[in-house]
This record gives sequence, structure tokens and C-alpha cells, in this order.
Amino acid sequence: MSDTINVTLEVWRQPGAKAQGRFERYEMNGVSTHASFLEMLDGLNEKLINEGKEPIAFEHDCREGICGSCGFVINGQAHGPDRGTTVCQLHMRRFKSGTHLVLEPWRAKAFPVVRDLMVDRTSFDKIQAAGGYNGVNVGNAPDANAILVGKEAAGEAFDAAACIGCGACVAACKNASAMLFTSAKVGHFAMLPQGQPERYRRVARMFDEMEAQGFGACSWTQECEAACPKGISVKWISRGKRDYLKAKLVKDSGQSSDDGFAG
Amino acid sequence: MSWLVKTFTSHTGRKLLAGITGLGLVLFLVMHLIGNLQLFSSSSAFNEYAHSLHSGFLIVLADVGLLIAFPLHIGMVVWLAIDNKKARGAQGYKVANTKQKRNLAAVLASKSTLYGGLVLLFFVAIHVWHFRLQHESIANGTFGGGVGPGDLKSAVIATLSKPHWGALYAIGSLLTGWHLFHGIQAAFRSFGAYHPRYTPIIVKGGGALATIIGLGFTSMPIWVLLR
Ligand code: HEM
Ligand code: FES
Repeated sequence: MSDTINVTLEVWRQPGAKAQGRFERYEMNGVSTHASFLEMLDGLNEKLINEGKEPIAFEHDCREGICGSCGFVINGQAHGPDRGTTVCQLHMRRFKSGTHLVLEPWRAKAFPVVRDLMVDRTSFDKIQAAGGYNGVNVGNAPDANAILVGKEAAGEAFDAAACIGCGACVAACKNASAMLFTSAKVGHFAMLPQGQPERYRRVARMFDEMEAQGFGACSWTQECEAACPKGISVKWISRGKRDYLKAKLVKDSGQSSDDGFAG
Repeated sequence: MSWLVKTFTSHTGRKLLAGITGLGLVLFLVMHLIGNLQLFSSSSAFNEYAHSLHSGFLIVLADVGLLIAFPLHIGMVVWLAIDNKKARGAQGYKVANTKQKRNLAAVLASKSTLYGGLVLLFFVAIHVWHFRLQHESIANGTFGGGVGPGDLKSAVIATLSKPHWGALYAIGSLLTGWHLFHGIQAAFRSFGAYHPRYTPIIVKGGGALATIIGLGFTSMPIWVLLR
């Protein structure tokens, strides 16, 4: 087996947020199968720079699958063909020589394209800022076991907290819904004692903000879970909805966005 | 009051209404199917069933319930669908694909709910015109086609034995099953119901009930056409 392959790339190029975009083709020959997908793009960008052309803009930071910066769609699959993998952790050995790959940015009204494969995810920050925190001053870092949390609750909370906010769930959803992201953020707090005082206000505010940001609703196609590099379960969506409906219909808090959320 | 309106016009609230009305419609379909299956009995059971249904209170309840639930269901889901379409933005994807490993039918059913539903709407309109709005003419014998007064069974058979109507009813029935294949479990999700032990039962049970409803109704036009 040879250690290099040839691939054809068809990449969405868009010089700016307001500019018209289009696909452009690039032939990449002799790509090492040991290279990561982003390293392959680095190679292409070197080539483009040497030719005096604009390199392809894409986001990345840690390149080890933990920061949530990277992400685009490869042949219709968010982060590429591997499950539980960010695109920075995808490797060229995954592809056969001669493969044709179409690279597109996340497509969502709430994620406007900044440039090429790079989108603006401020809308996620807005959702988070609406309630994805504890509104109490906790002082210095407390002793780890000052508040006892059961093993199962801690495990569940951790599963939800594994969300790196990359946006693949939105990208993969036919409705560009942010339900998985928002529900994971809500659910992570809802599992822990520290999250209880603001539990219902939090979910009401974050869900309402999600809608205000222009994300779609959940049609339960479960694409998000399959696309999530952290394998976050759609069960969080059910739990989030349950808390939201409770907040709105049962609890005496959560109806309005200015009901005194601390912080 | 405004909190109530805000709640039920939010995405999650609209889905809740779609789920409640959807399950209400499912309940109706189950009763409708049990009643209709008497078509297969050789006696006049079907006509007697229809007669007692129409002289009783149940039909009023069903009419009022359907007149509320059906438009509400369609209103909510179409309104959601408009928001959902907008959320993608002006530029869609060039390549469509999935990373799901669930069975293909479940995935396709979940993505075609709206389109199946819109065809259903068309089917239901024709169906209501056939057997509900022409109920008077069937009762007083002016329906035509040699159908005697009050002989609903013959009227049904006369209608369904026309191949185009028979085919439409078969397709409409299958589509109903397809719609519910996703719809029943989705409704529970819309209520926020999740439980590691009960959710799998709801998913399997919902699929089974949808299959029974779909094939149950389809059996009637097929039986009439093959008779
Ligand atoms: C025979 C009558 C019908 C029954 C029994 C029925 C039942 C259901 C049920 C149980 C659901 C799940 C609700 C939920 O997701 O919470 C559903 C969803 C849905 N129904 Fe119906 N339905 C019927 C007719 C229609 C019609 C005529 C339309 C056409 C507009 C329609 C469009 C939809 C759509 C689009 C959804 C999915 C909503 C979403 O995923 O966001 N349905 N239906
Ligand atoms: S670059 Fe950090 S997750 Fe990919």
C-alpha cells in the first residue's frame, strides 16, 4: 500500500460575509495518508500562497479534538465521514486515492459565513450568555468534595459537559436547530446540585434565546447525535424540553427573560 | 395570559400542541379502524355500526374533536416548517448525506413527515367529501350506483371498486402509516418524555401501531379491488 493518495477537492470559496460565494476545484496529488485533514489543507494553502492566491480560511485551534474551533462539511457529513471525530482528528488514510471531496461551511442562518469555510458562531455565545452559567459568586475554587455529587449524576453531567460547541449538530440538522447544543448546556447544569437554584429560569432563557437567534425547531431526525464529535445523546433534548415546559407551565419562574436571573 | 400565548407559540410549545393533537388523531384513527374492519363481516354489521354511530353522541364528539385537532395540528407543523426552512438560510448544501446508523426507514420517515402530511391533507379532504359530506345522499338513497337507502357498505364498496379511488385510498392509508411511523414516537419526544426503559418501548410500540394502522386501512381498498 502506498503512503500517498490523490484527492480532488471542491471547496466553497467566499471572500467575505456579504460576498458571493462559489465552489472551486483543487487537485491534491501525493498527499500523505498520515496527514490529518487539516494538514492536507495546510499543504494546499501553502501551494495557494506560493501561487500568489488567497489561502482557504478555516477555523482550528487545538487540533486534538477538544476545543470545538474546527468544523466544516465534507461530502454532506459534518466533520467528515468518521463518527465521534472532529475534522482536525480526521486523517487522510480514511480516503481512497481518486476521491472527490466537496467542502462546505456549516449552513445556518444563525451561522453566517465569515469567509470560505469559516462561520460566525456568536449565536452560540448568545445562547450561553442567556443562562449557561451559575449566577452566584462562588469565591475561590472550593474543595472538590465540598458538595457531594453521586457517581451517576456526575457521569451524566460530564456526558453533557463534553459538548465543545462546534456547531456540527446545527450543520447536520435539516432544520438547522441548535437543540442538541442548547440542551447539553442546560442538561449539564440540571444534573448538578449547583445548577438547581436557577434550573428553570436557565432553560427558559436559553431556549428562548436559541429561537431568537434564528435556529430551527427539533423534528427528531436524530442527525445531530450522529454528527456530534462527542456523541452527545438526543436524550438531552427530551430532558431539556421537559424542563422548558415545566419552567413555562408549572414553575413560578422562567416566564420572562427579566425575572431577576442573578449575575 | 401573554405567558400562555408565548409558551404555546414557542417552538417547543408548538411541538407540544402538534404532539397532543397528533396523538388525539391517532386515537381517532384506532377507533375508526376498529369500526371500519366490520366491513369484512358478511352480515350487515358495518351498516348497523355506521347507523348507531351516526345516531349517537360519539360522532358529534369526533366531529368537534377533529375540527379542532386537525387544523391545529396542521397549523402548528406548517408554522414550524416555515421557521425550520428559514433557519437553514439562503444557501443550502450541495451534497446531502448522513452519519446515522439507525435503520433507513426510520431516518427517511423522520425527514418526510411534512411532505407525507401534505399529501395526507389532500387525501383526507377527498375522504371527508366521499363519506361524510355525502352521508345524507347515502342515507336517502340518492347516492347512485345502485346503492340502496342507508346501505353504507355498498356505497363504500361502490366507491372503492373504482380503481382510481381504490388506489388513492390504498396510498393514503399507507402514507398515514408512514407518517405515524415517525409521528407516534416523535409526539412523546415533544412532551419531553425520555426514560431509558420506556423510550425503547414507545419507539417499537409506536412503529408497530403505525404499521397496524397503515396496513389495516390499506386492507380495505385492496380487499374491495380484489373481490
Ligand atoms: C391522519 C391524520 C394525522 C395524524 C394521525 C397525525 C399524527 C401526527 C403525530 C402523532 C405527529 C407527531 C407530533 C410531534 O412531532 O410532536 C405528527 C407530526 C407531524 N405531522 Fe401529522 N398527523 C396527521 C395529519 C397530518 C397532516 C394532514 C399534515 C400536513 C400538513 C401533517 C404534518 C405533520 C408534520 C409536518 C409533523 C412533524 C412536525 C415536526 O417534525 O416538526 N400531519 N403527526
Ligand atoms: S481544532 Fe480544536 S477541536 Fe478541532
